[in-house]
Amino acid sequence: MEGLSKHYSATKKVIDIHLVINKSEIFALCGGNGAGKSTLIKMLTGMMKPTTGKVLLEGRDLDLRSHEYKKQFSYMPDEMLFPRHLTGREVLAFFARLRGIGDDKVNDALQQVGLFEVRDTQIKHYSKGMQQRLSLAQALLPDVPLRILDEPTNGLDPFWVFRFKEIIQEEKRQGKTIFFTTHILSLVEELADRAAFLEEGQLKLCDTVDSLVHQNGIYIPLEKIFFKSPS
Amino acid sequence: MRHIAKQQITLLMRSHWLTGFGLLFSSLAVMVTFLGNTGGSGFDGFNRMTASLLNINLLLIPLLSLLIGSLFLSGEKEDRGLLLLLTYPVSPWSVIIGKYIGLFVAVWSVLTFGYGAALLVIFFSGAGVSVSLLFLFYLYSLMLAAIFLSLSLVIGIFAKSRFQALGISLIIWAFLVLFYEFLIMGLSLLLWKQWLLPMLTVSIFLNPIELIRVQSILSLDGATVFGPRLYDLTIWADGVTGKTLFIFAFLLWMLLPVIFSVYRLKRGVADEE
Repeated sequence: MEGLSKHYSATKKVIDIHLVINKSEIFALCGGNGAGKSTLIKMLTGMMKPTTGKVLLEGRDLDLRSHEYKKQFSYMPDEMLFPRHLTGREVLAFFARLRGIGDDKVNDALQQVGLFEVRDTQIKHYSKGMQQRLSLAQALLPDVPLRILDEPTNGLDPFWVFRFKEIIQEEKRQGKTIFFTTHILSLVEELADRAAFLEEGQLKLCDTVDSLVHQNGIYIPLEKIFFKSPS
Repeated sequence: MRHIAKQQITLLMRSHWLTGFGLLFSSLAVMVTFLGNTGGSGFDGFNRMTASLLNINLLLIPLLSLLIGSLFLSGEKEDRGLLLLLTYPVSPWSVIIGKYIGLFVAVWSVLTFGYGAALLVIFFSGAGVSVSLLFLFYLYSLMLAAIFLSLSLVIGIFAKSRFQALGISLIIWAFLVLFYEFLIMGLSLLLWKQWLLPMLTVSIFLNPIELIRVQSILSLDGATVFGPRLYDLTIWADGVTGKTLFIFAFLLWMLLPVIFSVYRLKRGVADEE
């Protein structure tokens, strides 16, 4: 991301980012409410037009709204609500067809997030966590190099947070790059290779998680680093 | 586009909206056909039954098309489904046209069911209602649905929530169906006499409901209801130029909102949030 910024007016600039994400790494973006995480995700996924800047994908400057760019990533939105009257399988099959993916992959994705048994149940009977898992399955469907996940563990119970970490590690082993946002810093410590902290639209810290939490051989939790008091 | 249209049809078919609309429209169409037959006032041309059926069409179809289209689209936006769709390698054209086709097919099925039910009543009651007349009404109903579903897309794309979409839809419907006539009547009182006919002619094209209303009445040879002062208008509107302009205006009303919705989607619906 090179100078990616969004201005709502001449004076109101909400985000200004220079960031490099390496291939096959798990990158976590942290920040409080209103820090600009969602705005960044919207620009990164082509939903919002940046005022300035560009996104280079393996050195190539692609139009963020082009099909070519959109074929390079999958996206899991924050708190997605799927149509109540459709079944989990129907929802995934729809998204799969949009990318020309077959039904076998749909079943695989449902198995992966533990929804295969309830695949023919209407979404209205799904809990929040189940919908979140379905959203994750939707993002896991295509074989794309980059996965962008917005608050992926929201609403997941501890077992599924654990499974989520396993799934993401497996994705990394398969060479996928994972970019996710979260409020949960313990998740960042356990899962991410690198992390950045966003505050008022600016990157305050960006380094490997190891370097961040181990300073002079002493372990310092991320929350102490990110939320260091001015004194 | 095909997958989006299919998905939209499935969603609508499973919602209670369409069932409710279907039942309401069918029962009203059957009732009007049945009661219209009992008056003995003749069944060709513009009579009690056709006037009632025309009113049902002009009141109900715009309202329900606006509501169904705008609420579904704004709801999808609110639930983030639309935003997710835009991260897929599908063009805004495919999204909008797919949704439009899906909505139209769903409303078309309801109208077909309603008119089919009315036709059955006519058949079993042995009434002398012209089938071609009913077919004409069916055609105008579809045109109304085509226009108002197209408008509903714009409302759905612009509205930030279902409630806002509901409010905008109701305001637009009330303006076009109820207040527009008063506005034109008020204007006609202020204008010179020689400006009256051109103003009324233009006013027909500026409101799709009036456009369909006038064409329906003219098609039923009911030009007399407009009165002697508008005789020139009826002659002109019923001629080749009038019919051509009618089709042109219909296409504009149907296509412009679709194009506008695509343009808005291309700019990015997330930009406004």
